[in-house]
Amino acid sequence: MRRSRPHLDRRMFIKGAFGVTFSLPLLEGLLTRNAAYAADPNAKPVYAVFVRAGNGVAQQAGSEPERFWPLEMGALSAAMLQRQDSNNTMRAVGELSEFAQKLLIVQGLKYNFPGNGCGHSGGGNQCLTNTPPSGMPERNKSLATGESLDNLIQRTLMPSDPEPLTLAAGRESSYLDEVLSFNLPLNGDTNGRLRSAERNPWAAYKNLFGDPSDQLDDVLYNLLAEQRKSVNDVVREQINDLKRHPALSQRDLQRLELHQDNIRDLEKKMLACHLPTMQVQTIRDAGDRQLFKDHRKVESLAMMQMDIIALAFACDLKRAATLQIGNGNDQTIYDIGQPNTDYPFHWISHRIQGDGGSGSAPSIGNADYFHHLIDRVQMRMFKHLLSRLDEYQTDTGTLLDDSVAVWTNDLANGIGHGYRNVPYLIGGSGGGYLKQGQHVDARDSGTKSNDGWVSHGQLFNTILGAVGVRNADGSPIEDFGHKGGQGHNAPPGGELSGIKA
Amino acid sequence: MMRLDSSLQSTSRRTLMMASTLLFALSCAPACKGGLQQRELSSENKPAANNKTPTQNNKNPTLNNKTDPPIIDPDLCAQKGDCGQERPGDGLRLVRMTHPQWEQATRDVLKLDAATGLSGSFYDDPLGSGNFDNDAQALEVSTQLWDHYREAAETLAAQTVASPERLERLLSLDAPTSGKPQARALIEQVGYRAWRRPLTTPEVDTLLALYDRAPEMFNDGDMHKRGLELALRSILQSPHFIYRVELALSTDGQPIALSGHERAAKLAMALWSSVPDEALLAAAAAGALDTDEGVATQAARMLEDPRARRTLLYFYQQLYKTPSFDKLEKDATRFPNFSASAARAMRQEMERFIEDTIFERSEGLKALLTSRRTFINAELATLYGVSGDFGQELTPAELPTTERAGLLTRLGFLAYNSTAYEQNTIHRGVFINHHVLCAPLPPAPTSFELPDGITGQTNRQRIESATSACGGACHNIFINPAGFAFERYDGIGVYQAKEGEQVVDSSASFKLNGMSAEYKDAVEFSELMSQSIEAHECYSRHLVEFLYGKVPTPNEEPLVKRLGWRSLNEDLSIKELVIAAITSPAFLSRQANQEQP
Repeated sequence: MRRSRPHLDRRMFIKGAFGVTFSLPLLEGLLTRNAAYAADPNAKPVYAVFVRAGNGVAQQAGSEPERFWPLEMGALSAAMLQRQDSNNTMRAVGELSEFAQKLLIVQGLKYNFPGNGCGHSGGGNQCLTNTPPSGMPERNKSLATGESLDNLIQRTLMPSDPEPLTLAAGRESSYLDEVLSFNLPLNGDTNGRLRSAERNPWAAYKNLFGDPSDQLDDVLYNLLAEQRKSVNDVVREQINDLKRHPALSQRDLQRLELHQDNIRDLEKKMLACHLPTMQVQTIRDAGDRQLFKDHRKVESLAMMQMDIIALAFACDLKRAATLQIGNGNDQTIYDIGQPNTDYPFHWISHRIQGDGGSGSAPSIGNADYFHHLIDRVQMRMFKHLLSRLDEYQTDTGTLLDDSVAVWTNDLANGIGHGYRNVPYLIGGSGGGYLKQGQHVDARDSGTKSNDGWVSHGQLFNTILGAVGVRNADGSPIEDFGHKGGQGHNAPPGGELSGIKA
Repeated sequence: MMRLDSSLQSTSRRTLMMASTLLFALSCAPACKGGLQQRELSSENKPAANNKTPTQNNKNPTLNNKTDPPIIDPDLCAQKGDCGQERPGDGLRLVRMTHPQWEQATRDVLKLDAATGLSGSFYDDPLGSGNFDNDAQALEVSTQLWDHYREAAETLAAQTVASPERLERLLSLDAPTSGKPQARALIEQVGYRAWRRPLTTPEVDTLLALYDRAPEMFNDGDMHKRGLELALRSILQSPHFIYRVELALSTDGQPIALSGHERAAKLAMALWSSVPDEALLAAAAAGALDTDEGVATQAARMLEDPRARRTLLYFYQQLYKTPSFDKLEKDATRFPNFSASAARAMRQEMERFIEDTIFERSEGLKALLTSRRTFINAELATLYGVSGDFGQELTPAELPTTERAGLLTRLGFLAYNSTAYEQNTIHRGVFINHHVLCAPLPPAPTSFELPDGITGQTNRQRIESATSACGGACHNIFINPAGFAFERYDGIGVYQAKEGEQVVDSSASFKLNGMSAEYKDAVEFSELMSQSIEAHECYSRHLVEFLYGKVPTPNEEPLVKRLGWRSLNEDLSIKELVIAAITSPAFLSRQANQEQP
């Protein structure tokens, strides 16, 4: 005789067509146990995502005009962001005008350390770590000498799952591929461990939310869910028996409790979190048909990855994520709607038909303008992320409000490939911690280095404050990244008071 | 700011190498004084006698009086091996398997011909505070890992019941062949292997109840097989499989011996990275593991099994990083004889030498540090300067007596501890201090500046110039002398009598056995280390850490010191040393219900 079984319909939690606002009622119920270094284990979670582009932006450099930053400092408005400048060009950030009131644009920041033979690699090494590139390996193989921000946030706020979500879209390269996310160095080593990024959105989706092929048929899905639950019930009872054993120490008990929590968390994740069926099918196609290997589809693939990131946050499966657009020295060929622009982005960034910074390669006419158009593509992709996060409603606003969604580039500008005035655009206030609707210069409130620029580490310290990562004694982290040594002094630390709400 | 003299400025690569080298070179300066003082105090120990003296320590320790701190008399320990009374274990009671252990254990539980490789998709485990990946303190079950365990268990269970041959292999010949009786037999027999002990009646009943519920949870297939599938999934996802569990309980506050099955499980994990086989389980059930002698007998048997080779080789792979040899890259201009195939052969040579020394010849640390015996192919023969008829396969050979001695003078070790362009004297020196002698180098400093005006015609002169002042307290005594011994090996380990026009100076001195020991090169240094209590104690410390799955605490100090003494003075083979380590009270018994450190 069959026992009646509960109906475990995943879709009772998330419904809605692609692009339509929908909500997740289980956010609180899905909260994960916090760690000792979390500021307040009971605080509402704040999420951090870092989107990185390469090759710098088309900002003012040498004789090239400004085409990136907003026209004005101070308050942002949609009208100001959309306004054309004296060259009849809308600045690239104008693409984000719809989010003017939820944006914080920060300039005046720099990387502290020189590259070790390859500016792209050196920039990538520092982009999220604020540590010097390694002595060995060097050049395009150089590594960060510490962990990245996403790594610290994820392992601190979600110790049961210390791996941040690490995704990429666009071209791969044997010369310089992933550059962004670094795990802690191993004992006895000084180099961070570069994390490989998942380019296949279908693989990322399956890893996070399970394979929905089991779930396309509700009957099959419910049977599978019940099989797993039945096994879990047996395991849970075995863990309970062990926990009751008088010989166990507190450390043993903590391990078992963590194990038990994670069984529960996984059950909830498998039940609650999926994108709408049509959208899942699109992501499945990208994997099955290997579309993710076609870098000309970078925009759609990046947007799929952003959908996955937003859902992972909405379900509280991850607290930190990165999305790398293009390879290290991005050689993606972007569609910028102009004739005769079928060049790798890296060539365009150097303004010549080649990968070298100079030499005899023919120049590319209007390359700085093409670079600007690529920046606008990047901005449109970032806007997609902001939109996705903003579509998830919470009890106090939207998921974007509870996030720190950062867009950056691991170089400041194209032509010079420099490290000064690296762009940082932040969507969301991190739960009210950061200012909104502002364009600020970090040099107005940060602690300057001798060259007058402000270490981007100070921005990172502020982001750590926003997401709720603290020192063990509860004090704010003021020195994320390099602490001195290895041939370099520690850069000036502290938070950027000028961006705090 | 660092200023380099003109000879350095002319070579950017050399500059980079120096900068890289100085990462360590200058890093211990601020904390050096403390480290030096500590070292000099400990070096007051009398030199160890090299004559073979029978061990004086307690061969059959009792389990009482264990709450006292370890009594270690340095003089007695160094001279006679009387290193204090050994104490019962103090580790965690729930020890999660590492991924390699899970891989081997599932293979043995399900009696597969080969490992499945399913753990390859598991997230990497964190490295604990020690040298090896099996530090129990660091091994937990995260959400992701639980998901991976689940997925792997589902895969293995489905594969098993789909194959009549695989299913049959899991059951004894007299087991029922169908229906619920077969399910009971499968649960009892597979469960026994997986959980490393007989299942209780309620445990069997619970799994049988799950078996019975298959018709509720499947809508196709043979429900008997579906039920078996559910039971297998449950066995493989159970905490009793995922963790090695020790529940031996003291009722009177006194230390307690582990049960026979707990000892079997611990032995199998330590020596095979797996679960016990039937012989070991039978020995446990018969009480044969209740004595040290019984444990030693089983351990000796287990050491002859290929799983023991793989496990002990894994110890060296982690300690010497031999898998990284495969990935070495060298500057083609400087080292035209280096190639990817040479890198692979260097790893194979090192690992083959280790296996041969331990398992074929049953030798000990002295041989590992001094032997000239090796296995090389034509490519390595060229690099070693050994003449003979060599092909692509590794074949036995003898290395030049005056140029090579033991592990530390092998190409792979030397090439790995080098930059892409040159030997890395500092890294070699630090490795010797950390991993061969366990010298108390202080941790890296928080800041330093590269010194001005580094000068010198040779690599040694430049390092001496860079470290003579800042950092000198550490470098002059510990790091540099150990590293300089290997100065006659270039960035890929090839012997070099000269550096340009300069004769290479690889002479130095290092305190060993409490005395300053002088040597002219790495051959002599290796010989001296092989006769030092420091090297043998350090090796024993690593071995205990690996076999016990925990960084040694003061609890294990008497054991570490005794093993070091016996290794040196009794010239124990590695296999004998392993058996000595796992017949200690620290391995076979537990303190009374204490909170673990």
